Amino acid sequence: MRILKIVVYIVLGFFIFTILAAFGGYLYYANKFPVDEIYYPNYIAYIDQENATLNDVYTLCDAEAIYYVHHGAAEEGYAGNKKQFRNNILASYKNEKYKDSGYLNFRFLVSCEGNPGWFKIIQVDEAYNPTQFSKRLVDQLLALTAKPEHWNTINVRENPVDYYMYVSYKLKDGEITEILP
Amino acid sequence: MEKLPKYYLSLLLLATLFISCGNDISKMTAEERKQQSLALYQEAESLHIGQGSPAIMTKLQEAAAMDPTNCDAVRELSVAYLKRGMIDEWKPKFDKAVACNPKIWVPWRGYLYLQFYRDYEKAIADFNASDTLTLNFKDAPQGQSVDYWRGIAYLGLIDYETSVAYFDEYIETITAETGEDWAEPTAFLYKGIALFKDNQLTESEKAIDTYLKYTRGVTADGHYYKAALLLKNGYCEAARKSILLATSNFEAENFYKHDYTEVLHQLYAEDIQSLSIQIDNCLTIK
Repeated sequence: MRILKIVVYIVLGFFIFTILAAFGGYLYYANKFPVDEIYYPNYIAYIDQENATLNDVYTLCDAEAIYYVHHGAAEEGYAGNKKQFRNNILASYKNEKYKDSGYLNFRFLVSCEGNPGWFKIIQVDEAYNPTQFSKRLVDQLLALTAKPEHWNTINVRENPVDYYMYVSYKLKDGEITEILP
Repeated sequence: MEKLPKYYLSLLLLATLFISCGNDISKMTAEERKQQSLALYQEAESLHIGQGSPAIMTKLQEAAAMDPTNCDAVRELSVAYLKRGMIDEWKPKFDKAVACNPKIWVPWRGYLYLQFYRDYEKAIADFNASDTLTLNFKDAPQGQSVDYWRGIAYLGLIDYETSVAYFDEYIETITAETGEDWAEPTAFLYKGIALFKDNQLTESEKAIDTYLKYTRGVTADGHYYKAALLLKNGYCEAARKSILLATSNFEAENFYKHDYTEVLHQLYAEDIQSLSIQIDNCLTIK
């Protein structure tokens, strides 16, 4: 009976210790790394899928697990490579007498099947101040960027994943002078 | 043994008290706030994998608010926006770091204009401004002299003469100070490219050979330009050997690149294939 009691106390002790350690760890992290929910409700570059452009064309494998958020899939994302992407865009793009200069950035997600969507658009002038480019120019480059043939499927541990990507078009009088990053 | 549950409860209470202990900021001196701000910044920096996460951004914001002269924290608040393509958010945030400590962050902004935005004019303006901000010191954002970066910026502007002049300035300075082998090897690569594009083939070959020497031949870029130079001079057989070395090095991923951006004149498989065809044609004709 006494042995049984000792065993029960040991098991109980281990159980309580585990709960305490987990609770303590949580409190420690929450105290050491508190979050300002007003300024930073999400990670930087988070794309709200509900309010993004072209959010209803394709579906994501796991909307909660977006990969390559740290700096986008600058090398892996392009089907083939970036040179091919640039050549295809420059061959298809038509400057219809636009006068816009600055940077047009598309931030978006590419699904586990290599389909792009969920776009957020940034437009800044040459001084990097927010601006509004010709709608036809933006629509044209959005349509070209959103072609699935430009984008790879990316595997992580042999499983295809959804990933974050961005492309920036540097414009001078409606001409594409650089495709970044 | 019977008292153990009481001890467990005491441990829980102690843990809660320990964790809930915090610093009262209002009672801190200016020096204490500086120290605390630095500690917060270092905590944020210790978790690089969490860059841009709400917890890290909150920590950095706290560090910057506690000591607005902690320019490292002010600058770090901009970095995730830079890497993730949020140019509209990055610029005003980085400008705060520039205002906080222009001597450090003006040349750094020049580097970022160059590397991330290919904004050559703004990059050069900041590099030039750094010359007057630090009169007796040559700034080196991202570890390289502003002369090296100006060489690349002018290459981007297709001003080959000025580009080569800055690479020469960079190489001569570092050679006098510590020896040529301390120079960033890509200074020779880019100088060689500028000279090649300017059709100064003899000088270009010298620069490319130096690049090959300092990379011990482990470079697709070096062998590619060597092949291009040999082809231009009509040495088809030698060009063939170089392009094969370029190919094998490229396949082994020994080519110049950057983690977050495409580098200026980045080499691609198509470039090597295209030159290889020209070399084959040269061999066929001969």
